[in-house]
Amino acid sequence: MKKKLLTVTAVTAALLASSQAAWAATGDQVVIGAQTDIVTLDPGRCYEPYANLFLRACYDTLYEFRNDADGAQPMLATGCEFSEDGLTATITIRDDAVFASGNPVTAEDVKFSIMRCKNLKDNPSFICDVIDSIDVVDDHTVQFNLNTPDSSFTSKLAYCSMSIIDSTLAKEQGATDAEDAATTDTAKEFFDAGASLGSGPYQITSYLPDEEFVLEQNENYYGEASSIPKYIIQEMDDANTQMMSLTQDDIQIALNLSEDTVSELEGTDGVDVLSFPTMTMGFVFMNMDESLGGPVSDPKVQQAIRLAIDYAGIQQIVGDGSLTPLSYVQVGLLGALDARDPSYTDVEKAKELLAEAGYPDGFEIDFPCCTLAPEGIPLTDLAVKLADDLSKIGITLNIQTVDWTGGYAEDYRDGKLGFSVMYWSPDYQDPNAELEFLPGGIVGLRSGWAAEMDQELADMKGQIVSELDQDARVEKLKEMQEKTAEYGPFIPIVQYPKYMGVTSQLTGVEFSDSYRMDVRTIEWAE
Amino acid sequence: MMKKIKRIFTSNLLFTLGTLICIFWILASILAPVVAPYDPLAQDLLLKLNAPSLAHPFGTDNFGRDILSRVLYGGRYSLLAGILTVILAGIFGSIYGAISGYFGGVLDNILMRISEMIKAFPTIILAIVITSALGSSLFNTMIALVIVAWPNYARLMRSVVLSVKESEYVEAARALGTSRWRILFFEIIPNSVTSVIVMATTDIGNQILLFSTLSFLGLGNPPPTPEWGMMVSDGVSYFNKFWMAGFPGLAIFTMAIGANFVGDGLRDLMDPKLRKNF
Amino acid sequence: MDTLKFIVKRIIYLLILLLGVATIVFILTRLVPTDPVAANLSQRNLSDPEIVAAFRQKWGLDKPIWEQFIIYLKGLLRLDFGTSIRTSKPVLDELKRCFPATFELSLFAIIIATVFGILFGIISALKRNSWLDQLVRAISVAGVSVPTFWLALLLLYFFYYKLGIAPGTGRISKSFDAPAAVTGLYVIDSLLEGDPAKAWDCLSHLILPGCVLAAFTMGLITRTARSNLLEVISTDYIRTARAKGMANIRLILHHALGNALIPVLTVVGLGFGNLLGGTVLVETIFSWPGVGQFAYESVTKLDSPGIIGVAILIALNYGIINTIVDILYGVIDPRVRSGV
Repeated sequence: MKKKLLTVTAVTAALLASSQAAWAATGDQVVIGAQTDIVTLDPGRCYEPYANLFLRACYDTLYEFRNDADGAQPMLATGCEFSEDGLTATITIRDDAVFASGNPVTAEDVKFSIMRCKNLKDNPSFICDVIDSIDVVDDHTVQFNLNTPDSSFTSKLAYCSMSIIDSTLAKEQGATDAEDAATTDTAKEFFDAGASLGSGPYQITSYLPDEEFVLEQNENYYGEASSIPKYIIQEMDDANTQMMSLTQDDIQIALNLSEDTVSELEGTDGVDVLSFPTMTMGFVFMNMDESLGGPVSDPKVQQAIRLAIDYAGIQQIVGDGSLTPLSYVQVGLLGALDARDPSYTDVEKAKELLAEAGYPDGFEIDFPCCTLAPEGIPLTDLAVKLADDLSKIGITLNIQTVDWTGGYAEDYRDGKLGFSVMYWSPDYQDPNAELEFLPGGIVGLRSGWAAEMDQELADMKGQIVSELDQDARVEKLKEMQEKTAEYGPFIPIVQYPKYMGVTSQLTGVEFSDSYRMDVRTIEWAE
Repeated sequence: MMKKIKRIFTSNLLFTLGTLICIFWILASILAPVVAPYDPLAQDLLLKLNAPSLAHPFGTDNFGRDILSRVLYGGRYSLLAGILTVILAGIFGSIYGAISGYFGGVLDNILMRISEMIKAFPTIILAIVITSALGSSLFNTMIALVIVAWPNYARLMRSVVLSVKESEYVEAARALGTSRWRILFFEIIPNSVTSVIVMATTDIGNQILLFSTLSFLGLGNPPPTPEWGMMVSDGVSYFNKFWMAGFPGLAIFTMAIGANFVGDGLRDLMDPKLRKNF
Repeated sequence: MDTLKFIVKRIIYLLILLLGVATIVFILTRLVPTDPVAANLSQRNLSDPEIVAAFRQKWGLDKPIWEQFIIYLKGLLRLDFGTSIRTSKPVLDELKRCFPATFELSLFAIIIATVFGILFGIISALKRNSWLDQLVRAISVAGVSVPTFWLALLLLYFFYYKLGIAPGTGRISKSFDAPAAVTGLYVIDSLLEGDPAKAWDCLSHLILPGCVLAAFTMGLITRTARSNLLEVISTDYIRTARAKGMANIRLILHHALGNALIPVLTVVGLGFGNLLGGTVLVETIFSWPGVGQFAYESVTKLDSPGIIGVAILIALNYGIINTIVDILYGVIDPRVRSGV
């Protein structure tokens, strides 16, 4: 009996080990392990950060972001001209682009794709708010009629939901760009079954929701094909699983590593570990309305808190590669000032300010905190650190964990929270997206910061948006940041780092805020 | 008497082991403020994620807090949750089941169907929904646990009551004219309680596990409270620093196993058929 | 005739149970002070009242509660479980997608648990109070006491990462395509496809999560098997047989096991029912695309059609298994039938 058991165990182990060998990747496909949040493959409806990963691979946009250049660069477009009053943007399109189907990319497709995104009224539609209508001038020229001048227009055109889709084929599948598209468009089912209608180097060939999807090379691609014929993006929620799979060569790229897994991977042969700062910013916010914020509605108290926070400590908790932005424009965006020096912390001065404000012995205050975890770091971790920091100047935080869907989202949106910590990442890669923090902006109002409370600052938003001269815009942005570095109900405390693991056999793997990772730059190393 | 007790312990190794473990955890929880080497909330980022050493036998976590101290303090919540849940669910369930079994008929049918509906529900999902509705706190999580646990007690009590209500002394009481309610509360329930108590003691371990699972999922006292389940879930992000998730998990395991050994032993003790085995 | 009446009665109870579960879940999801809106719209869109209103209207959230309930019930009668707010796909389709994964895993786990549980139970009963008995009892109690999430992480860490002898997460390795769906059970479908290598691969993926899930149920089965066997062994019937000179083990197998198995059957049934509910934790840790994961996502995103769908599915499983066990009981022991 015992002997038999032993043999069975040995045989099982051997079999497992041998099939292990069969699992190693074959030389042509690249498997990516990622924790994506993808809910749909319909470009006109995509809003999740990881949707950009496959949209970038399968579709072209008028403009694009590349890690090697500042600001939006022309892609399908060859140029953009604004009228005098800034209300018209005329864009010319390259004439050699074709879709995977063989159909050429024309102005008609551009108009269809963008108006569809606007009229679907889904998550990404807000990006088209500035567009009133689109006119097709000729096969390769499009005219956008805007309702206000917009200095971030080309950045918006680089946004992935502005992907240009093959309108001929799309219409066959029930897509429409009409005004009532929100209720009449039926193409989502088609896309979600695992299909793409783009002009990019890859196509989606299969999609298993919450499991994986497959990208294969577009035979008709008009540009230069890469050396990688197939990508499989496999859903892997756990950083440890990704790490383990990477070391076993079950995947070649791990997109969601953590500080812990990275420290384990250091020194592993055949695996490279990369870290990049992201635009995801954690910030403390305090309500300007005294009935909601209590003591923290007082600017003196706000500044005291700003001085009491241990920025260096927060960077340590969040991990290597993190930094503290000075103000609302994250480091890495156009026009950003340099990061805040962690030595800014000054507990003594904080205590003085607090006493001046009338709280020499500090105070106790509720601190609701939601359970979201941007870049894998729970906001509650930040809350715990903040509680520790503030206890040093006499402020006691009562941390209350609230689910995002358990009321936190509504209260946050309606500006009812008194004192908390949240995160924000720009919807599109342009500093203008950060102007929402100013008084009267979307985020500003969540802290009860109405425009009337600081009209001068509030007005800067409109000025920056309509300033079509890039240099002048950068100047104004810097001015705005200097004004808010030590003032206001928001304290940006950290920019999260991103860790990726890659097999040494690949090159060109980099993190990209716009696309998570730009597959167009990846090649097999020679 | 003492001799008998001594024999019970010496002849049943597992029961003894379980009792020792439980005593250890009860003492640790009560004496934590005295015995713990550090303040469980004290952060020291320079010592972040240190492996177990002489200074920190269980290592430190991502805030530089001492894990041994946190484990010692954490016992209270698990113990409290386990014991209180069992008491509350036991009391409520017993009364419910007794009424259902004693009065029988349509009332019995309805009451039992309701309890079945609750039982049919997956525990964790129900607990998550309840805590989302009430908010995350130790108390609310316990309420969720009680709601999920009482049907078992109700069912047990009911079946015991069903058999007891036919017995002679109950008939005698009826003959004397005692009201049905008095019979229920003064004759039937006291005589049915033994099985429930046995179930309760074996259930404590289960409730401790369930509570730690819920706190692993983020329900329970908000951070920085050193709840074991929550410590394991924090430790998952730092999986390769095995001490962060390892020791609290071990603590949950040992406490549950101790409670279960004791529960099993008590049940064997009280079961006349198996008593000969001692 | 008796049996038929019995079965029909059970089925009616089942339907009432399902109705009750649907009602309770519906009420719960509406009572909870949260909004599927918050869970499914982006931060930016939350602030746009027009988009919020459109979302509410689309999902019928703007109607009064009782009206929503009636609409839902009507749908149930047509076997339409509504559309998931989270994924915009019919809930029935989602469940059809997830259930086979959970079923396969649960089946595997219950087989392991039952085989080892009964084995340990027999060993323990035969060698009562010896060190072997104590060891088996310790193991079964340990199985019941170990935190599932911890055990899952532990096994994954040692057998996959450190030792590399177990496959990673998921149902099948990347180098294989999923087998053509016949039963939804990957191992069987792979064999039907004529691909034993693939079948073996799927089987090996079942081992770690299966063992984690089996731990708890095995403990219960061992305990039940042991105590019932002990009870039966001490009866006069067996003592007489022993006096007649029959060897111990034959005794067990021929006489005791049959009677002792009935309560064990209940525990196995209950255990299987529980497993079919899909364990959220194990499925998440092992990236197993089953009902548990779907349930968790639905609950956290307040997708009430999804939640109710899962609840009904689970209640249905529970009810069906209970009914089957009851029927088997009734068949094996006629005294039970009349008592119901």
